[in-house]
Amino acid sequence: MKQQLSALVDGEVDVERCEHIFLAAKSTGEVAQAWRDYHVIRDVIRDDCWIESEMTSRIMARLDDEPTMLAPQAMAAADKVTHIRPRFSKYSWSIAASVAAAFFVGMFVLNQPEIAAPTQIADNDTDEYVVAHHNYAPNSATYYMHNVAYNAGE
Amino acid sequence: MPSKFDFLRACLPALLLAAISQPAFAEDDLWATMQKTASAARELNYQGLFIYHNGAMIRSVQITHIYEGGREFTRNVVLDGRPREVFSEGDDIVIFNAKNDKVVIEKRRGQNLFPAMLPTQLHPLKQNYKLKFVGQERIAGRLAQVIDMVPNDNLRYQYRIWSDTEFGLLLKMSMLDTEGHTLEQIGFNQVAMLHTKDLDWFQPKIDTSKPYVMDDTTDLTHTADNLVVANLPTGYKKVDQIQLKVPGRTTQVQQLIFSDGLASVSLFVEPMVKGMQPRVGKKTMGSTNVYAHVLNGYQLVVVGEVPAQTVEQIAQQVTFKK
Repeated sequence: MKQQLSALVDGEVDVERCEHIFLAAKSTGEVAQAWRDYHVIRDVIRDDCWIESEMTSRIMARLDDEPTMLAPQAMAAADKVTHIRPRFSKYSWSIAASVAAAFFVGMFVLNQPEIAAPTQIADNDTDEYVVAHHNYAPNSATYYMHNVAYNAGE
Repeated sequence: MPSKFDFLRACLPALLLAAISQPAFAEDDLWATMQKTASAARELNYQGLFIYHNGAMIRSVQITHIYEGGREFTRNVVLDGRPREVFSEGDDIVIFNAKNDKVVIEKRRGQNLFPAMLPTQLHPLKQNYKLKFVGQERIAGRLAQVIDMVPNDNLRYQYRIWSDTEFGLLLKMSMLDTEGHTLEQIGFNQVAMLHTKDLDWFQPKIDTSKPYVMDDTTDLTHTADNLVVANLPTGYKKVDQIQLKVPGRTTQVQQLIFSDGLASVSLFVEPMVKGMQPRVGKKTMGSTNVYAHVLNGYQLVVVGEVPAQTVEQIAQQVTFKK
């Protein structure tokens, strides 16, 4: 899964075909941590906004020691941090950034073309919403009806 | 005595006119009655039986209400259909809901349940409704003043309230559409003031043969996100936002609640996932209007006891902040 994630970050996988990676990134802690780490590294390389994490402070400390690492010519000075750098070209970072944006704005937007054409609401389609409305909205006399199965236990 | 007869005949139109216009109280007086009605339901001690009608559906509910030491205690027992007991202490509401082989315990936040239907803060209502005195009627053996709440626009329904002339308790309330048809009605069949302050009735009927489970489908924490409803219909304000965990779904559903002080509308926002059938369109069920809409990969559903154009307007105004 980590390989798939880094492939995605590197732009080797089509963004449209990686729904399972998004889901996994959301649900499994390991992948989520890896996802976060990749972005921390990106942030360090770009020298922009900051996220608190042990890893970031470690990298920052290192960068303080060797400020030239950020320059493209510093390839020769490659060590622990820079060994992953070749994988993050400017191009792939822009993809990663757009993936990240999609991830936070609403990952499901990506899948929109696959969603079936909307259909008109039929008899019972919206019952659960009506019940939820009656349950939580104030001034609901309809509260006493509650004849639609919706909550736990059914 | 033709002269006396003539005199009466001459006076008749004036007398009739007086009879019709006589209870034309100043609107301020009517608002004072409304304020008394809003408070009475919360501060009086009473017990009664009320009936709720909506379309073809009818439910009878037994209510006991005690106000003691600044706290309100209410028990509502739904007598028709599935057994259901609703307990409230102040704003905390706990419901015991018998479902097949178990009893589900649900928690709710404060709602304006009958007869405490009117908000104690009448200011929002004053902006959206005009009051009109209708007359006097007997309800559940009590004499009531009948007042119409006429909306200033067609974004909300009209309400009629029956307020106990002596105590100010709300005896009945109905909701009417723009043609004057009754959409929904709730009112006492019998009601009596209580002189006791015992709280021994404030406990559910426990069925020891059934397991009791907590309903945890709702996260009542207040949430905020990138959702914006730019131009709410006149007089409506967002009053709450909660998250619902719908069984069998991986994503949470956001519920935003809007109110004009009396009528309320819910907006549900849910990300579309694979296999989910998007819905669009509108539907009317008694007093409830529903409008479904798809936007930016989200399913939007708006539900409320308001006219169709109000739910539609809210659905059309939703945008997502970038």
